[in-house]
Amino acid sequence: MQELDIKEIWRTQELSTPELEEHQLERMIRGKSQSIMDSLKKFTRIEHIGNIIVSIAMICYFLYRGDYGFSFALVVFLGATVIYYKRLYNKLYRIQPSADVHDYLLVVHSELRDFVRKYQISFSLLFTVAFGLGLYLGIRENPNADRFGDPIFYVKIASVYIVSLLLCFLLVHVIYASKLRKIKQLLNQLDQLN
Amino acid sequence: MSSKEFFNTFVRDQKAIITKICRSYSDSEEDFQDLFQEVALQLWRGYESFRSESKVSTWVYRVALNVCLTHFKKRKRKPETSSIDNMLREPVQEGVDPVHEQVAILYEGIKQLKEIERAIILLYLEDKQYNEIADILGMTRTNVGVRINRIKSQLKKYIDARVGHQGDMEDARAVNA
Repeated sequence: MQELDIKEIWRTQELSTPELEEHQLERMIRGKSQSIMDSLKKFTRIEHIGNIIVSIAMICYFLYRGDYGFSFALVVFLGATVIYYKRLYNKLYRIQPSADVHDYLLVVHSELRDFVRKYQISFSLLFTVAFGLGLYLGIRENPNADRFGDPIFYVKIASVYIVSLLLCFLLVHVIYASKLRKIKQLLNQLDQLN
Repeated sequence: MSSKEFFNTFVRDQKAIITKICRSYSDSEEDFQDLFQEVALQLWRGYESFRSESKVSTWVYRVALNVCLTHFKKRKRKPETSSIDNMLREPVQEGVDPVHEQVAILYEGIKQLKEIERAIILLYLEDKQYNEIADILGMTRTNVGVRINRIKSQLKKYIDARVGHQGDMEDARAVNA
């Protein structure tokens, strides 16, 4: 098969492409995106809404209990997360697949890697704060409970904390590690060709 | 004409390009449909903000290739495959259109290449100039030229082997008959 033949064969297939109906196209552009960047945007949005709901619920709870210090701290935390997510959205929405392949892969890889790191850091902080806060409130509510004097209780709490953290890390790794690896491989292929 | 109507006409015009790229990066009919839909969706989203900073074809190729390269299959691969792949696996039957068969073998050869090499040869087969290929992929023009020659000979070797093997099968079938 000569060089010219390859191009000739390539051209013949245009004749066999099926017609695209208007309703099919309409369905396509109204459909859900499966792109990795859209998944990141979707997760970021869900996470942001979740944070707002939980923070407001906790602010209401602490106000109800008369814990104004905690309430104030949570209001500050909520303000900081809103600013953080606004900046994150802007960054994610700037990434367009109309960039050249090398630049697009580079930016997708960097965003995905940052996303995984952010999750690992957030999980570590949130779990530590949640377990610490739970323990603090538990002791404050019931300072004379026997379990607080029992070292086994703390070992159990620490075990649950470590296992939960490891499970979350594993989940993030299972979801994103292969994607990160694939994009890195593509970037390596491009760099080797360049 | 509304922007949606403009877009519909636009996608119909670009359908052949999108089909060829999606077909080269999909293993099944289901994958192909997913990729085509995603490309159409991303083109629609970028359509209004497209400011002719690059050629329309460059923009379409970039979007289609970026979508195909970063697409991660969600569903398990089903045993059902595209008509092209089915044709490749089945022994060649009498009466099968030789043009379709040649196209199938060419696609099979393209799918043996690495993803980025696939993108380079697709653009070459689409008669793109080295400058435009470099612009779409983010490579240098010189490297594009060097790589195309290597990929072409790699593809040619594969196709020759495949056609030779098919020829042997046809001979065997003729002897058996």
